[in-house]
Amino acid sequence: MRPPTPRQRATILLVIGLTISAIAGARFVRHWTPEPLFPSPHVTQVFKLSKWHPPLAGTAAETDVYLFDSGVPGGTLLICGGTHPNEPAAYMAAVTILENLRVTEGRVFLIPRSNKAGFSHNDSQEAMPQRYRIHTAHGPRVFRHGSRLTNPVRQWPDPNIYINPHGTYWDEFISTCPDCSINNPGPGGQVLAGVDSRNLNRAFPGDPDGTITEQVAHAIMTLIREEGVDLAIDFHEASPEYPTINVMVAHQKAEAITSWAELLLSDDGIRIATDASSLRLRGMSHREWGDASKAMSVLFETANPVQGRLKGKTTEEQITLGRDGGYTRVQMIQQRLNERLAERARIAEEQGRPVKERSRKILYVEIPPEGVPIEERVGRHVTATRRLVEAYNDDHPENPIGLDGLPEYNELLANGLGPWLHGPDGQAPAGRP
Amino acid sequence: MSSVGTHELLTFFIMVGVFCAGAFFLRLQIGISMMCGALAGVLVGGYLFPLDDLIRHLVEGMFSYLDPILIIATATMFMFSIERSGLLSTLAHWTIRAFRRVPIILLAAITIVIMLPGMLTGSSTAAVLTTGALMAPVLMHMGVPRDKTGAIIAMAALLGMAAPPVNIPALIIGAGVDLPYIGLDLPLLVLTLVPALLCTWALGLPHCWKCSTAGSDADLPRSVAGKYGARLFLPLVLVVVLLVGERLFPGRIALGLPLIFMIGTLTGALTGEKVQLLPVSRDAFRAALPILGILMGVGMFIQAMTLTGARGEVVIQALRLPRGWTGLYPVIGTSLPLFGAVSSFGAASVLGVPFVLSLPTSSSVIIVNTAALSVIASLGDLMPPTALAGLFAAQVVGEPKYLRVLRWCVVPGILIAIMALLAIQHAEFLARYLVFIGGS
Repeated sequence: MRPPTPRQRATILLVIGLTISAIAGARFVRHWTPEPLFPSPHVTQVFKLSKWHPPLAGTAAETDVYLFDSGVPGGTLLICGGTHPNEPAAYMAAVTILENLRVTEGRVFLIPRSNKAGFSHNDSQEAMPQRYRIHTAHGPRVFRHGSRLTNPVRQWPDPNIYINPHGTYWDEFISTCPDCSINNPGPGGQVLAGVDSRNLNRAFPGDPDGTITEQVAHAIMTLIREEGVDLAIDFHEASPEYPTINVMVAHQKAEAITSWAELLLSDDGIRIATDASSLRLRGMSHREWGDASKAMSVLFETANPVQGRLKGKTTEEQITLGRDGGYTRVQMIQQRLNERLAERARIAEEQGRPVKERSRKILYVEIPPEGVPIEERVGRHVTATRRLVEAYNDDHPENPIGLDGLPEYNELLANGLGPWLHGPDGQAPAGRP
Repeated sequence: MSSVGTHELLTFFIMVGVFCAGAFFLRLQIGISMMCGALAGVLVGGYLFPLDDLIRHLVEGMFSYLDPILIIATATMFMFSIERSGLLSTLAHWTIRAFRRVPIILLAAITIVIMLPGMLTGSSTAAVLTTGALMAPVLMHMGVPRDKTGAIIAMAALLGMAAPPVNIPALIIGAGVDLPYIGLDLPLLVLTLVPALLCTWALGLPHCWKCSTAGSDADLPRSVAGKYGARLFLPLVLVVVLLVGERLFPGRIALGLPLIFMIGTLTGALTGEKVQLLPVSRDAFRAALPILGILMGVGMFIQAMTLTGARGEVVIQALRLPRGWTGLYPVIGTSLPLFGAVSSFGAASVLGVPFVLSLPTSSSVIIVNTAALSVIASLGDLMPPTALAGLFAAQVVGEPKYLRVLRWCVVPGILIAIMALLAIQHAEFLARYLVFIGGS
């Protein structure tokens, strides 16, 4: 057989290339379709985020904002999930609240997919599944696993470095809170890697004329200010080697109620710490929301092994079960390493030499062999929300927020997340009409 | 070691083995060999089916390099354009005439000029392909051999990428540990400028002493400035203004490197000797295509490593040692640049963040450690098969075999890694003199 001519070879390669592009393209486009969400019957209104920034109307970043209005005077709470769509428990906690919440006092605004344009793709080289399933009483519900960043199809190219925007609120904030300016460099000017231009939690307080990510940040900021939000919570997850883990990061205005919530959570069997929001790390919700409005802003973090750099084989179960052989081994390695270091330190001290290293923390949270399942991580977010609201109510009895219908932490641990979610076709959760 | 880690490690060795077999025995292109390694990994890992998901993974992995691919393609076109317009030879002519009698200053000036685009953009590729390309004829005319000229350009560009104000590996490491990009400038400047100057002098001076008094103007590269006047320099001025503008006016000028280089290419076609855009773009793509293929192959390789758990296993192996010269330091000094063969940014993210957390983390010490780790991660741009700095430097000087350029980078690279590790060892002492951060 004669070898193919260059033209024939080129044609064959072109056909192969087009076929691969078509198959991959179909998979990518399928990822754009949002899964249905089934709000609790107590939702009083559904808005589009463009209500607070009209240029977002019709864009890929346009996301639903659910309002639960009790009709009873009280405070206003904002809950954001999906700020980083690659943090599934942060999203699922918002979905669980959406499908179960009843507000008895005050109002709650809920944005489950805060960075909606980040749900339509995965982070390159993280090899994540595009979807994961949660089993309900009526069959499996499928949810998309997204990316930490806005889809580059919607915002591209990235600059070499990203300098976080100033927003338009800083001067006003300082005029009302002169003490807050001490040591506080103010928003804007935070230098970040270029890819962070698509990171919603580095874009606050946002820019009405900026990129689509900055516009989303601006819209959320405007919602907080125009709706008079008193307490604002942002759900997140992080890898076990990230130092800020299993914590509530609180703006200085929210430190007292967060510390109180920490104590309440210890009664639920949840070990969680309170971290002060840094004045020098700009662009994050816990810092900018609090600086640019009257809201007390708090960010919750849970531990998610699948986000980590040490993870083993990537599977769908890793997301829902939070189980990872790699992290279990790292814990063993950390233990052995610390034994060796302690022995070395002991010998060095005996010989009168300086001790270089006594112990090392590779992981900032324990990942048990049975994993940190999604119901536990969702349970931490939901329960922390309830306790933080309780702490807020204690501090502001004149302006209370009443939450009802949400699962208890122990119920989630015992029965999983499925019983609290609607079925794949919108069937009500078991035991609910 | 448990059986879990063994399987992942085995997968990694199979992937590397298949890559080596493809590249060295079957003489396949490096990019194709990387793809074969990736396919072997997903086969061993049991991810062959569903087939459309496998294809999705491989394509998704490649997308990491979409931006670098566009930058490389357009920067190569820009380089070809200003070479054919006569701008390169004119600048070389002027520089040599001005400084040829003081080679030590000439070489220092050349080094800083090559570093500048890297300092502003955080990209060694931008540095090699812009000012590196400008300075290549100057160095060669001064008598520096082709391969050593390439090495000088590669090293200066790489250290420019690591130098302040923009060091992207440091930004990436800092983002991973919530460290603001503050206080890094002085440690980074010391860790990059000093070795860059020493490296250029060591490689260049032995050849320049002789030429400092020799040669007449007739031997110099041809200047066409008299014929075209100031407009000849417009492409370079435009590119520099747009690059600097992006840094100085963030959000107002955000064209991105590919568009900036395209504007430079088009301007080059109108401001000097005749440049035909079609042949220029064809030749540029022909020159850049193997590198673009490597990047795509590397993207697939890493996606397969992550999917199969091999990436995590490599990081775990790197972290299991105690600090010091018999433990963690040599692992940092080798694994960060080796992983940088994939991408120095990827190395900073995957290994740099766990490494910085394995070292002391008090506020000013972590800054010195981050600076040092980012410099070591930047060395990845010298690591084959990608070796972006070396590859482009070879292309700029017209050296067909980039390993000839890279061999002159081996000793400087090792010395820079040792210097950075020493900085980590003595971070507390250095922090007292190099880190200045106010407030809390």
